[in-house]
Amino acid sequence: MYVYNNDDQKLVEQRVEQYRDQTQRFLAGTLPEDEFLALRLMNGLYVQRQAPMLRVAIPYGLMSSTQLRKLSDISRKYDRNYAHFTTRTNIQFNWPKLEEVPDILAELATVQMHAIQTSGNCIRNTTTDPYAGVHKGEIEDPRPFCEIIRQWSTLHPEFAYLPRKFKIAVTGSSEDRAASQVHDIGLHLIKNEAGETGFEVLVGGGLGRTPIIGQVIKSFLPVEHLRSYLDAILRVYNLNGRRDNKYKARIKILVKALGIEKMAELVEQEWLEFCKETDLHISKEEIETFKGYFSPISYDPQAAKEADLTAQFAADESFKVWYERNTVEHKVDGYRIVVISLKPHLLPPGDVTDGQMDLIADLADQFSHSEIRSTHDQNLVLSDVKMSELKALFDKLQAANLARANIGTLTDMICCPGYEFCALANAETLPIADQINRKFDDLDYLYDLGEIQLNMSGCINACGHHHVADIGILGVDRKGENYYQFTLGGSSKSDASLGKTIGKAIAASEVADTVQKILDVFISHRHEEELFRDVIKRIGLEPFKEYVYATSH
Amino acid sequence: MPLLINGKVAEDKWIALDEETFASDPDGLIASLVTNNSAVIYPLASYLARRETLKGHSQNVALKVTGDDNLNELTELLDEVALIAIEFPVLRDGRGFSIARNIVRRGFKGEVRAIGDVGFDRLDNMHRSGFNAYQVESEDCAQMFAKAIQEISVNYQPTHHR
Repeated sequence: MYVYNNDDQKLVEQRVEQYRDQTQRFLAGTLPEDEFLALRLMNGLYVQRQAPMLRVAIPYGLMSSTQLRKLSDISRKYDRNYAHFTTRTNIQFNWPKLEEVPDILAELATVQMHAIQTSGNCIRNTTTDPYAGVHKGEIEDPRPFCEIIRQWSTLHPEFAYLPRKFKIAVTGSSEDRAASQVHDIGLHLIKNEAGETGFEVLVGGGLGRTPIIGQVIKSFLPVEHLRSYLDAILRVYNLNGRRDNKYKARIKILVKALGIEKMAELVEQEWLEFCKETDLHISKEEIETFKGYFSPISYDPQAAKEADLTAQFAADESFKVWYERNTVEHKVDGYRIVVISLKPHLLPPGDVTDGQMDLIADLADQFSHSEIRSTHDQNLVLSDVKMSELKALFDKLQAANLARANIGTLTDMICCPGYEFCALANAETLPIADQINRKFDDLDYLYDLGEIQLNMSGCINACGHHHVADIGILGVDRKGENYYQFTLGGSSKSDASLGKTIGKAIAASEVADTVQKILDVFISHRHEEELFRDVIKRIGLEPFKEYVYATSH
Repeated sequence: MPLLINGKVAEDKWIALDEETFASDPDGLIASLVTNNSAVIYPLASYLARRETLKGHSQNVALKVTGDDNLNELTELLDEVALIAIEFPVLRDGRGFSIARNIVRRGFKGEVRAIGDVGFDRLDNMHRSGFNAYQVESEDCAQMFAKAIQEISVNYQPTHHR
């Protein structure tokens, strides 16, 4: 992974002192509250319903075991012994003290971490495929470009006060595991007919109140122009994005208002005239240098010969089930990608305890070259595990409640923290997640259903990505009561689409039963192993509407 | 309000004109300002309304622009003015950074002045986006500016120097 040089280190240390000074001025009363608000948000600090919340950046979801241990330490020392992974692959602490945040940041800086631009109206953490560099069939590793974007966007002086937040995702494979089409900018590494690598650039995707799938603004951008082209898009957005209404301020609204052709024309003009030939151009040598930071680990050539797990499967059925569900084919024979499920039974999705963090760090050291990745669907990944060591890893994960074999199933849900932890939320999400988990605890049943993504948000801001799930659940408040609105048929993958509402919101107590009804309709129409999303595409929403809202069955 | 030019406290020789004053008697006003050799900051629209008269007096002519102005119009005028004052109406409005960058890279060599909500915590952003003058509320503004541009010394953006 990328390791800080002296300048990178200096930047985070100076940023800590800058933020410490801002905090002290606020506490001393010389920095007005509204000014401090903008400054603290740009450094990941929200003030929530019960306490402040600090969001720490995990650039493109990649961290070292040392960094994870530090996060664990921080949760013990400054928080309540746990933390929460987000859909931007960052991590959140829910109970820090405002006056201690500078000290937390200083501790983070000692392990090359920070909270820069994890919130606020600026360029946020860039996300990517959690299987980058290790997945079979990848076109190219997106991480070197993520790091280029990280550096360019960090403390960019011109783009710190954008109309609204700005999110970029990069993929390097034809499969989309980064929800790139619902980002302000989605970058897809592709090859042109000449075999050169470039990006298909999408702009104007996003969720929230106005969910929109991004549109192609440039079908092939040679990689050397990545920075200059982003610079052009950001300038056009900064100058033209709406600032009169924060719900209409994202770039998607600008793209919608102008039309993609006009937007492309403005960006192209800006790019050709002032960006393309500047120092933002990335030389071939520079690109090679960045690629060098992510060169493959040295794989054991013996690993493929020790990959027969038949005996272990026979001895432990649960290991076999976990292997099938929670591990993924690796590009190197004899290795697997392991997904650590942060979706245990009846505990908040995406949460980890300090003990679990320490353990995962140890396991990364022991089994996966000391690196851990966080995924946009709120799990963790060990990317390079020898098949011969999977059983030992599984046993340790299982003992720590980290091996629930539910990856890709209904209970591997994306879920925001909801009303209890978020000042924006209108409705609770965690008790509903529990309700669903209680009802659908039979793994065999879940496996029979096949891959189903269920996402839940506690408000219209859609942090739980409910629009792009097979089954989306949105919590709403009706005169102090929580109700839940269902959408079906969404996807954040290559076939990105927005789910459609099936009808009026449903009472909190009936959510899991409603999920059951939806599944019943699916099963009754399903051909053999057909996927949920394919059934919806084939039969539409009507049968679901009819059954869910029928007066009696 | 104190003025800072290139990091030093400076006398402000410019008179800022608002659109209403200008509109009451534009021709009379311009005639007297030109006769007296007064240095005047005109709102962009006012300047455009009497551009022909003012065109030859670039040393005494400045423009005030905001994010709502048409920047394509502004970039036509860079040779005709000595100063461009860019207004930050509120803290959260970051258009001024890109306006400054736009005119500087087009070769504008005059004074690029930040006015409006110009606080300590944004001075470095302004400096790196191309501003060289700041109208600030603080009395110890030279010190403040020196501190602001030293807080962070690392620069990841090759196009935005400190």
